[in-house]
Amino acid sequence: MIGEHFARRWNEAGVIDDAALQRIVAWENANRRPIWLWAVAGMGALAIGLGLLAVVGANWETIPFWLKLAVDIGLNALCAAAVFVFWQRGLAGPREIAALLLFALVLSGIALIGQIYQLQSAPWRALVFWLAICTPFLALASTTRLVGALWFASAVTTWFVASDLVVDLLTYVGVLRGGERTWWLASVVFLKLLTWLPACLFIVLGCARRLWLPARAQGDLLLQLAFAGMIVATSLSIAFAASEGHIAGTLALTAVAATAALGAGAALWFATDGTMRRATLALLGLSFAAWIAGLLPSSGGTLAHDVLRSLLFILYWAAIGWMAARAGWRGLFGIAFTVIGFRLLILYFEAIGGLSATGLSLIGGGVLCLGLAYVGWRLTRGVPRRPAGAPL
Amino acid sequence: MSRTFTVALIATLVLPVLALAALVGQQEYLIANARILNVPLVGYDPRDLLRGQYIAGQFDWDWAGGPSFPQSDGAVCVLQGDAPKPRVRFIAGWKAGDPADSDCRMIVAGRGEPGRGSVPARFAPTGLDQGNGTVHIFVPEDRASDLERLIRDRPGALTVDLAVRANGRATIAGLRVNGQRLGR
Repeated sequence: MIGEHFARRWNEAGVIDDAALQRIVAWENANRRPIWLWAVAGMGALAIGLGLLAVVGANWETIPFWLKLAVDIGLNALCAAAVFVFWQRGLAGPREIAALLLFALVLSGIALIGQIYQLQSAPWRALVFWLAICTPFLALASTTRLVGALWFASAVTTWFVASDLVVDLLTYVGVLRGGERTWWLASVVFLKLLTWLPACLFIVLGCARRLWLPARAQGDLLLQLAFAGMIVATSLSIAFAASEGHIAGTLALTAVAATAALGAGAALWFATDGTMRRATLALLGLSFAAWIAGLLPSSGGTLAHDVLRSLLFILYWAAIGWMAARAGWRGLFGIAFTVIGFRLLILYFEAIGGLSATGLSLIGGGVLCLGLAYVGWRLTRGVPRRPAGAPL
Repeated sequence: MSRTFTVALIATLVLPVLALAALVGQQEYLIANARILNVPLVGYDPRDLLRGQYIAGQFDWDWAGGPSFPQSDGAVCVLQGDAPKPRVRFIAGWKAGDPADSDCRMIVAGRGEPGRGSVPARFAPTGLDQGNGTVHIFVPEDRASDLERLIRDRPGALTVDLAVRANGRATIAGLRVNGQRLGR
């Protein structure tokens, strides 16, 4: 129905002729998917699931622990077998759903064991264990972007939950001095490194993933998400100044960040080519330079420093927009323009200070918004669209 | 797909199932090869015991020789006796493999926090300490408020079975209310 609606709209605009319209309408009629029937079936399945959960939940205390564990491990085994059978029969959709279900079931199993045996270890241990035993089967059995995105989200969550471990690891390898753990955990510099490192790590993983042809789309998605994370990490590094002190430690952390960036660069060099290689390496280099600039300490938050950081932020996003325009990443260009617009708007309100609530300043802000939207509209239309199916 | 890929896929699918089963087996093995020590649990802040589905509390030890000792890692030596509250002595710096005094019937490794003023001395076994000698005990949601009231009104009624191994490491083997084991 939606396809038919758009086909008629395009026909009225003269984009497609009457014959094409008839063919589209005929195809849509022949391949109708009764969404409302799916919705009713879905609601039924959801009701059964919720009912089962309610019955089990109400009797949870009376169920012996061994039965809970046996059912949980049995369900995991059943799901693993289903993944294998679906893979053998070439049923991609069911295989992906079963893999995702197994991924979730394993986590619930770890939580159940932790509850029954009163395990008190830190949450990151459970999450790392979960990823360690699930990543191998996800890497072989799953190739879709959805599962890739969920794995990415889980890995990122684990990374940030395990931030204590990162400090311990850096202390163990001699990057940080012992006895400064608490200071580093609360320091802005460490937080900047904590956001930078996973971005580099996931670039390497995304590159490795896209080398396997069936999982190339998943690898590309991991790369996109990693670069999105890197841009966020860099923007935060520019926006938040670190307090002065611990110069040696900061230099050591910078060296770690540089090593991670070099690793990510090497992975991009081997896994990509042509425009994609040039664009991604340029974005990595630009982000690293801006991230380093963000590490420069701010002396007491003076106005000059604040303005400098704002300009650096705008320059960084302008460079991203320029690169996006050259590479044909229209979406990223639009985002870059919007971010710069917002930053300019914030600068405008910061500049007029206490007058920000007056009618005239609001009118001025509104005019600025409209002007930016107009310029953005004109500029975005000028960016050539990437050909369909092109990488990244 | 090649035979190698099939074998690799089967191995990766079996891995999480085996890992979960191994985790259960490890816990059962640890409990089976440990000696059980029953310790009362008390609330460290009676106004604020529940943490989601956990009760936050402290083990209630009977300190032989007083509760003053240096704040450090070490162990408690559990002395002979069958009183409800285990009588213990703190050994600062004790490590697995170190000899135990002849009067110790059991050694539990952990961290000790000396008592100051009205604050009692605290000791939580390694791996169970959630900071400052506090432990978190998972309790069923529908019994959480009853157990919270029990700890507040009748200190010592809720006890924990610690499974203590020869190397001093302890895990929670179970909970008891008035001596009756709560279901896992």
